[in-house]
Amino acid sequence: MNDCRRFEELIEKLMVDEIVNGDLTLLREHCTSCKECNSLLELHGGLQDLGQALPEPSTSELAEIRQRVLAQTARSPRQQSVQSSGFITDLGALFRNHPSAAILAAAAMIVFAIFMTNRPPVEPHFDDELLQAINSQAERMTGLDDYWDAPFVFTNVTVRQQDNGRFALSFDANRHFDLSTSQDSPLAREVLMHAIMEPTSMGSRFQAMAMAPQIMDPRLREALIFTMHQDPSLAVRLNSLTVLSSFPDDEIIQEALLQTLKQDKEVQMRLLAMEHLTDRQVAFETLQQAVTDGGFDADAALLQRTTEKNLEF
Amino acid sequence: MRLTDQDLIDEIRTGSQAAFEHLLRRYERLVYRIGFSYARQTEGASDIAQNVFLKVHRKLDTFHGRSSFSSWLSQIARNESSNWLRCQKRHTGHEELQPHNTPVQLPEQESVVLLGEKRARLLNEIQKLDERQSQAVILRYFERMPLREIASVLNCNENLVKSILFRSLKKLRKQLPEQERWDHE
Ligand SMILES: [Zn+2]
Repeated sequence: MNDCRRFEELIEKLMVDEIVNGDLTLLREHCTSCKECNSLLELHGGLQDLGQALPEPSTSELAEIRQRVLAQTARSPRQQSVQSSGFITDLGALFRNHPSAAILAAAAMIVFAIFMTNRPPVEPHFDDELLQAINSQAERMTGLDDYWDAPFVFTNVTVRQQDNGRFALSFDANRHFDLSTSQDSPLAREVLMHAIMEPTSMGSRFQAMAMAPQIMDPRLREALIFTMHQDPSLAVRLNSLTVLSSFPDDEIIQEALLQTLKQDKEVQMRLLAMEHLTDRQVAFETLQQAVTDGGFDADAALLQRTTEKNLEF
Repeated sequence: MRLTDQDLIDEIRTGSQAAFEHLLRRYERLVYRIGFSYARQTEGASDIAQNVFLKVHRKLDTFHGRSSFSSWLSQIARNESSNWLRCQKRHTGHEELQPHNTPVQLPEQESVVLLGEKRARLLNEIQKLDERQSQAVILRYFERMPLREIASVLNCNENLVKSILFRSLKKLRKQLPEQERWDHE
């Protein structure tokens, strides 16, 4: 299951012609036994095929288009460009020629800033257009599905706790951002969610998971569950399981723990899930069923021991 | 000697209709293909191509050569294609009737005939990706643009383009029912 991340990276490379031959062979081999990766590989082939199959216009079609265009352009001569280069550059020229104008403008901006800060605090206030777009996207986000569909791709993500109870967000989304926001801003949740799933840095994932409980919400829960189930690193999966276990009454988390018990290939994960589930007083039959479904031979004995241990207290 | 795009543009700026025709011939296929990938029908693709070249002719003075002419042209073609789609939706009332993200069914018929059902279906699903994703897919697979150029069109770095493409692939897989996933026709 967790190997797939590596092969997904190869597929990503394949999509942009960056894969080397040896890797391609490895990928093809993997795909003979992995349905998930194979479906991606086939879809890539499908897109290539579609690109080649798109109809070429016939010569007569093209001639017709050309005729219509040329007829119209012959009738209407081209617009001449207006030489003015726009307000901003005009301002630049003004400031160069009259430095005092720049000082006046700066003063006006300070007044404006004071005016802005006197308004009721709408936090976070982002003056950056891209950041605004990302923030309003974050306000609309509801779940992991949105994460896959997000128009902004976050890379290089870290979230750090600040002394003043705020979060320091640091991420690339088309370009790099460094800023401080209140903990419960949508953007903080958004970036934290990406940090939990940040593929390139395990450190970032750990850090983010430690902060998630403070502002836990359904999306962060989903991200943590995704990490618990899918992260290639056992240490990260264990950590995320521990974080999730600190919410004892959450049924979705309970369901996710059962899933881990059923399918995680590492016995440490299954054991830990088992312990937390027995702590939660989950019915023995339910656990037994999960263990049977999982088909890991030693688990039945483990379950016996865990429940006995639990009964002693 | 082959005239560069810039040579032709300089000529057109002095009023040469012949140079414009030359430029038209050079790029008409590209523009048509972009148009088709959005409109999914030949008549739409022709309309789009015609509008694009009229616009290029009118707006040539606003082309400053900061990007290559072909990427400037492609951008116009994509904008024009999106406009065309929007107009279609409005005329057929599809926009009101269908929830967001539901594709217009209208132009699909012809693409089915031209491409076969599976390809038409895939093309249809590409339209449902968000704009940036579908753009990346179209640039990469239909216009066969190298990574570097896609990055400059989408105004982001190459790593991002890769992520966008990969995510699009995953999303397409999710959109397509399993039995309709690709087996080559
Ligand atoms: Zn796989």
